[in-house]
Parts: sequence; C-alpha cells; structure tokens
Amino acid sequence: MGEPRASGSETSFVAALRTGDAAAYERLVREESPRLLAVTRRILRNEDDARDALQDAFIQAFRNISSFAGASKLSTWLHRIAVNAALMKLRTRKRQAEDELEEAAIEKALPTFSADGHWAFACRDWSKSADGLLQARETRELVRSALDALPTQHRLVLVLRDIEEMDTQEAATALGISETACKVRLHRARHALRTHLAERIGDAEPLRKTTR
Amino acid sequence: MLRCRDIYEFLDAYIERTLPFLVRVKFALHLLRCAACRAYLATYLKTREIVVRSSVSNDLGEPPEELIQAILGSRETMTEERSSES
Repeated sequence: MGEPRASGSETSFVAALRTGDAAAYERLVREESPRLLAVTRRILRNEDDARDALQDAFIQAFRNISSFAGASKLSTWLHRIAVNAALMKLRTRKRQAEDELEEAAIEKALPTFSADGHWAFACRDWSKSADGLLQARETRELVRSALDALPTQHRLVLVLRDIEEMDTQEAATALGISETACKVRLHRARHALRTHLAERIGDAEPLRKTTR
Repeated sequence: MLRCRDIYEFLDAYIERTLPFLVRVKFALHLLRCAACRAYLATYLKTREIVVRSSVSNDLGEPPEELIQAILGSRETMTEERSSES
C-alpha cells in the first residue's frame, strides 16, 4: 500500500487521540469501523470473529497510539493492525494439519496440461459474458463462494495482495511466510479462483486428456 | 518456442510486465496463434477484475451500533484501569 505522510490536520487529530480525547476516539471508531470491519470480514469469513477482531484492533490501537510515529497515514496504520488482529484470530481457530490438507486440495483446481504442454481442458473465453455479472447482485455470492472454495492460506494471500493492495513483502510479513512462498501461493490462488469462477459462471470447460 | 504450460507459468510476469524482452516477444507470438491461451488470459484478467470490484463494494456493511458502543466501552474500561493503576 502507499505510504503518504500524515497531513497537518491528521497530526492534530493524532495529538488529540494521544491526550485521551474521548470525542476524537469516537470519531476515529465511527469513521474507520466500516472500512476495517470489511477487512476483518474478508479475512475471517465469519461475522462474529470479524467483529471480535475489529474490537481487538481498536484496543491495540488505543494502547499503542503513543507509538504511532506518523511515518504513514493513520488509516494505513490502523489497516495493518486490523489485518494482524484478524490473522491472529484465524490462527487461534485453525490447526497446522488443516493447512496441510488444504495445500493438497488446491491442486485439484489448478490447470492441467497434456504431455506436449497444451491445456488439458477446452479453454473458453467467458470474459464477455461475465461483464454482465459485474452489475448483478448475484456477483457477491458468486465471488464469495469462489473465494471460500480456496484453501485458507491461499485465500489470505489473494485477499491481502489483490483486495487489500498490500505488496508482497507486507503480505508475507503479515502471514509469517517468505516472499517466495507468498508469490507461489498468490499464483496458485489466482488460477484456482479462475477455475472456481469458470465453474460457477456455468461455462464448463470439459477435460481433454490429462497427464497429471 | 513457448508452450501453453509456459504461458500459464509466466502469466503474472507478463501482466506485470516483468518478463525479459525476448520472453515477452515469444509470449506475445504464442498468444497470436493460440486461441486457448488468449481465452485463458482474458478470463484470468476478468477473474481479477470481478473479485476486486465485487469485494470492494460488497463488504462495506455498516457496523452495528452495539459494536461501536462495545469498542468505545472497552476504551473507557482501559482508561479507568490506567487511572486506578497510577
């Protein structure tokens, strides 16, 4: 994400927060909660957990506002705290074994190739027919179900990189993985998501002879 | 000469324009003569567009007032605890 420096008006707002100004805190919570709740919802996919993570994030922010140096915008700082709070919540509810099972599961959604390197399925261009979907209410459910079909660790990389607009280093740090692992997961997540969307848009891509 | 499998592997680098020049030319030549790869690229790009646009517009439901009050309440509790400690 971009790192513009805090503006003068933001500096005075942060100063009010540091002095414990209740009105400033209420303004911060009311202004930032919708955006940050959207972030925790996208990561956690569970409303109760998302709300808990939002509350945890603001508690962290209240505790640490004195250490906010103004090197980034306040909203960027809060965004990082919310991402970390949501990831922490996710770690407490998942086990390592589940992650390993999910790693294996994504293989099924990745493209396959014939021995001579051609696609092992009939690629069809459904991008034009998908244009209408962007206007439809059903898109929300369609994308949600396609994202939910991804293994959690892959979905998280995709959400942080493509939706939250973190760069590779930021996303890798937040997830506690190497940048290489982050890039590999993102590549696989994007392709698997395309497969899931292709299935849901209804333009089935029949298999050709598969070699793997 | 690139194969469809290579197109799949290099797709992100092609989109982000980080492929070496020669590989980029080979990539473009493959696309010119391979309808399947053109279709894959178009649907891959469309997938990213759909996901970003729908996610940004979808998850902005307002937080309920009780959640806002709970957050503000937790700050007041913290403030009171700090006051009693000092």
